[in-house]
Amino acid sequence: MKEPMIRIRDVRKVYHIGNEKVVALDRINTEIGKGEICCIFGTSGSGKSTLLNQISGMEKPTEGHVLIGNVNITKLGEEQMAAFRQKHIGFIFQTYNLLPYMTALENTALPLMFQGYGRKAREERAAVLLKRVGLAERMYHYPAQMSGGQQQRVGIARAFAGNPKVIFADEPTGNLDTKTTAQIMEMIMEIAEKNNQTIVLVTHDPQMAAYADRILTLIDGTIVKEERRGDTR
Amino acid sequence: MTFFDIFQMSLKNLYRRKGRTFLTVSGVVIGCCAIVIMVSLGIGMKEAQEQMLSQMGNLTRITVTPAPVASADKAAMDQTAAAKIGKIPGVESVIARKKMELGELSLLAGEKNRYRRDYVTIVGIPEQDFTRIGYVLKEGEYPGKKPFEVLVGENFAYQFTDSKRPEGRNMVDYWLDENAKPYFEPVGAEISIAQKKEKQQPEQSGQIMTGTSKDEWKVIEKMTVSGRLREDSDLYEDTGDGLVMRLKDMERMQKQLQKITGQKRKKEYDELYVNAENIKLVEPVEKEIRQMGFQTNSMESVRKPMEKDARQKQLMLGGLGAISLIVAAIGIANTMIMSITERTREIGILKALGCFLGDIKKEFLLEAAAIGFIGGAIGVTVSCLISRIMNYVSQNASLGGGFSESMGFADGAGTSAVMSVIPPWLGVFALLFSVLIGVAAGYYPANKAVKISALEAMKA
Repeated sequence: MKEPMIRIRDVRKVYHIGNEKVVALDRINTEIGKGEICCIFGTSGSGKSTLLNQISGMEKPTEGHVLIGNVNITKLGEEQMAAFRQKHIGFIFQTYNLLPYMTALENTALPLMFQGYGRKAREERAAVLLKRVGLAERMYHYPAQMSGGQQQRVGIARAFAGNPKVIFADEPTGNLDTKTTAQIMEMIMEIAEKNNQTIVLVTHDPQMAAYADRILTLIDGTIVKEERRGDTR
Repeated sequence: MTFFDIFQMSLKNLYRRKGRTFLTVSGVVIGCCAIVIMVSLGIGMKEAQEQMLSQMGNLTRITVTPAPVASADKAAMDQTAAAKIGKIPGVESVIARKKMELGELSLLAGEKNRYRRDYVTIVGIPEQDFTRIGYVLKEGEYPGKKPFEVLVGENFAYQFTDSKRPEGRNMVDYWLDENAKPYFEPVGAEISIAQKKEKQQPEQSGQIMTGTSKDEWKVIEKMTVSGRLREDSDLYEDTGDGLVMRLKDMERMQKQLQKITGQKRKKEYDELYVNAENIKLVEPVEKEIRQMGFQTNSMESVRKPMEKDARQKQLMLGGLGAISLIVAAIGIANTMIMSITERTREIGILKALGCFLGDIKKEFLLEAAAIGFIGGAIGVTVSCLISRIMNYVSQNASLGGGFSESMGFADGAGTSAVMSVIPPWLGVFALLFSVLIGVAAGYYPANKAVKISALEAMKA
């Protein structure tokens, strides 16, 4: 096994809905190695999105810890978490989540802006990334002027802009057609592999899962199956 | 995130919602206008009052007179007292005045003392105070080095009667004819103070007096008029039709009179003119002088209640304006809350991507502050325009005059009093206040925004 990047220790998440307790995650224990492409696979309601939220620090688990690198992110305060996200985490969303009042270039440069980079420096870097995802012609377009696939490519460029160690992708192609899905996935894999970045991919689509090195299948909040793909790629 | 980035983001967000921003800004414009116009009316009112008061008299002058009741321990208003008053903090100058009524004496002028005047007030003030007391020369010069060079009031010469004309037609009536010339040119004229000699033979009853040319006079002192003063209601005794001489000349003359008439010479001054350094110091200085046992009189007794009244009106007007600005502030808060509700997802995205909470807060506060600033800036500009229009209307149209009167504005005897005055500090204050109100109104929404969870970004 490669050197672990993410360590998940006894993570449990319980939601209270009315008077009822719903156990969304029940004692998850696993590790994701550095440079690994890990797929969290499951049907809706299996707890896969909840798991992603715990690993990425969006939510605090009811019990247990998540470590990214050597940092126990469950212990970070909100400001520290924000700083950690800026530097070490990239996000790709199902709904792209671009800011409508910013151009592709500005959206891509957003994580760098949060870090305090000047306009010139951050937009130079953003331009490089946009060229890489094939949007050199659309840098000054607004999200509303682009197709879903193009918007998601901006989303990818943005996720990689801060050169993070880990990228979380939540159904990144959920809203895209098959052909575009393939393009987008190839793109993510290519960039991640080049920089030895870890990718955590959440999906319910077996086709997507096929891109991963390792597949964790979740049912009712527990990992029921762990598959490792032969190193054919 | 740099401040500039946050600022730019705020402006972009305001621009995105042009319509709503415009409406919210309009609210601030109206509020700002209301407060500026109201306060400017108050200031205009106050200035008109001051102007009116200053026409009534010098606002920093305190007139000190001896206590009315004669008692043994009555404070003497002499040189020592004057010096003591001069040392009170806030006193700029003390001018001593001595007055002398010519009881049995008369003034004579012209060839062979043809012109005569009884009843005149002679004022004596120290030489160095001629220029300080507030005299304005109409013609001639201030007294020079020679003794008994004197100044006369503007209408001094008109009060003389011509002993060679019949009674009833022996005076120049300058009230009816402004261009009428007095019998003699006062400046440069030689005037004598004289005492009528008692006649030996008793007057025949029933005989009409045709003149006084046959009267015999004993001249006590001769004077030369060096200058004529412009009439000033504040110093009417001196500048109206009186005669002003050096204090030392007057004292010399009084000594002489004492010998002739036996009239006892008083050493005290009749009045002290105390000038305070500024209006605010009038009250404390006046109080201190009163404690010394003198009577005082100043415009303060008129000014104080007027000022109080003006301040009350100003507060009321300002309060009315403030209400509209508060309504505008609620408008800002409302707009911001709405905007945050709409942007919940965007805020979630910002958080998920690692935007600091402080930066999100700053962004929303800046948006609110920008609304306040834009509204304030437009408001001040519009207020200046409205103020100009109001002043133009009130000064030019009879309708405006009626309005200003009905509003209770003293229009300073039809002079250049304006209705509305916007001093620079008011503009700056209104602008800052608008920004401050914006920030205050944005505070609650900004905190609300910060509390939005990053998970909002994950919702499909």
